Amino acid sequence: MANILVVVELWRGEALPVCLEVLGQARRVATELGATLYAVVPAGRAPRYGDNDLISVLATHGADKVVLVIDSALLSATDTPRWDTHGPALTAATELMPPALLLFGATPGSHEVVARAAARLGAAYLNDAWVETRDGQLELWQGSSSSAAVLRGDLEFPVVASIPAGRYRPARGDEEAEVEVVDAKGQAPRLLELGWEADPDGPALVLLPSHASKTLAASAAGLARALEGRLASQPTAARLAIALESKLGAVRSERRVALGKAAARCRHADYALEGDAVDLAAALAGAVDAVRS
Amino acid sequence: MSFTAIALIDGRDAPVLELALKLGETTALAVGPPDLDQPLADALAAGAVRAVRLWEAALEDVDYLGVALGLAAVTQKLAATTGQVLVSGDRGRAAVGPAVAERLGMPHLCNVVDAAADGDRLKVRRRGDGVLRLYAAVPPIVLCAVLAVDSSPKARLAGGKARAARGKARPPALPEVEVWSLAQAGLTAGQVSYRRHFRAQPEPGPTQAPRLFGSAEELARRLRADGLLSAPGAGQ
Repeated sequence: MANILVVVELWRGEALPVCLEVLGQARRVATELGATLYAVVPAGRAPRYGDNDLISVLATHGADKVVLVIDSALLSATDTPRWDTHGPALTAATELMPPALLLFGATPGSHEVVARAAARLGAAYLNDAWVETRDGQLELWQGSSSSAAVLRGDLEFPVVASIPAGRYRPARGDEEAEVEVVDAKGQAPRLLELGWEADPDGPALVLLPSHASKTLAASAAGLARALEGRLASQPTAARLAIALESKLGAVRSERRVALGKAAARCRHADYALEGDAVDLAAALAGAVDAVRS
Repeated sequence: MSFTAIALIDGRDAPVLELALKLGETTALAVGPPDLDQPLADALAAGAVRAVRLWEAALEDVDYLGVALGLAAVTQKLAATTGQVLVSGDRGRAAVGPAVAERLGMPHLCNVVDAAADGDRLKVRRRGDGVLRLYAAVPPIVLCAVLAVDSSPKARLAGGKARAARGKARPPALPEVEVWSLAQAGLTAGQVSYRRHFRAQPEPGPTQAPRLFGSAEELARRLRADGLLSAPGAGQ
């Protein structure tokens, strides 16, 4: 195995936590298989002195090399990644460093580009993926438990995978990384951004059981207000879904959180917080207000 | 202006056909076994002018890209792609639509909740970072559709009535679902069958468990770092 590439998505100049988690697991796999781990960062310009130290962050989270793929077209991109804006940068990186594994954190932005990147490479594609090793061999899963499917062994083709938040722990270290700057020579996007409008289904949904007590309902309402979201007893689409002592099911959401006594056993949740749901909802509402202020 | 639309049908995505029919004269297209004849016949009954199903044993168990190779080949045979809008489903993986776009060299958008003609352009609404993002595009383009924003029973009923009204104006005899071979699509078995090796094989796997946080404050900090507590439309 030669190259493992992890695409790092930035939010206000900082790597998204899910990307650092993916980088951490990729570090463990790369070490076991003897592969080189690249953190690939599409950006409109190279970081300047005084910017937060992204390169140092990626190095200490496991990258052997940090590849800054500079595409000036990205300077004018105002929303999450899409192929029209980020495709040239990803293509430049994968042409320069053909990957055996190309990994993304599961985000709305990666959802836009991951399958197309796979098709461009002629690669296998796994979402909701696990990247593991067993006996020195790569073992790649899509899905979990009885609904899972696997690719394993010495794969003779590249694999592109998207990994959900919370699945792996970041790696920690004090290593330094080489830095490479690649000019993507992008092109003007073919889609014109016109603006945005409020999403009636977003941004947050607080789910509570239909038989919820008045105390729980009041606490849930407070959490919904703090999140500028809405209350419901049936799962519907929302960017962030938080379930209080209720089932998340297959709610279509960027991030799913379970709060309550058995939250850690919720298979559909990305994050969990265990305890009394009334107290947790009130505490989370307060914490959300605090981090926002 | 209306466009020519191709609805990529897999039997599970009602929004695909609804959006394609809204955009213009629609051909329903599928890659798969005879099970897909019913959804294709339903597409004809709903207003599609043509329905094509591509199938041969060589396509059995191929992965997303094997399916996309077939869909792209038939699309190219059906018509010139100028002014064309392909509508695919986006239930989670969103793999086939972007792969077809890649094969045809078209732009694509996922998470599309609505689109409408606006002169020679298409105005598209896409669910983004907590808001609906608006775009203008000149076809050809591939749109991967999720459930419509207004998918209430009332809205679905209104859509049904509109289709029924269109149906009354249609001749009673609907066209048959056409079944194409790989040769008709300009493909050989070898060009698609190798993709079955790229498909993960079912086998019980790791057990999913959520990441457990120690406190509400820790969870709130993580949600903020994830960009989930930002003001709507704050962008990158």
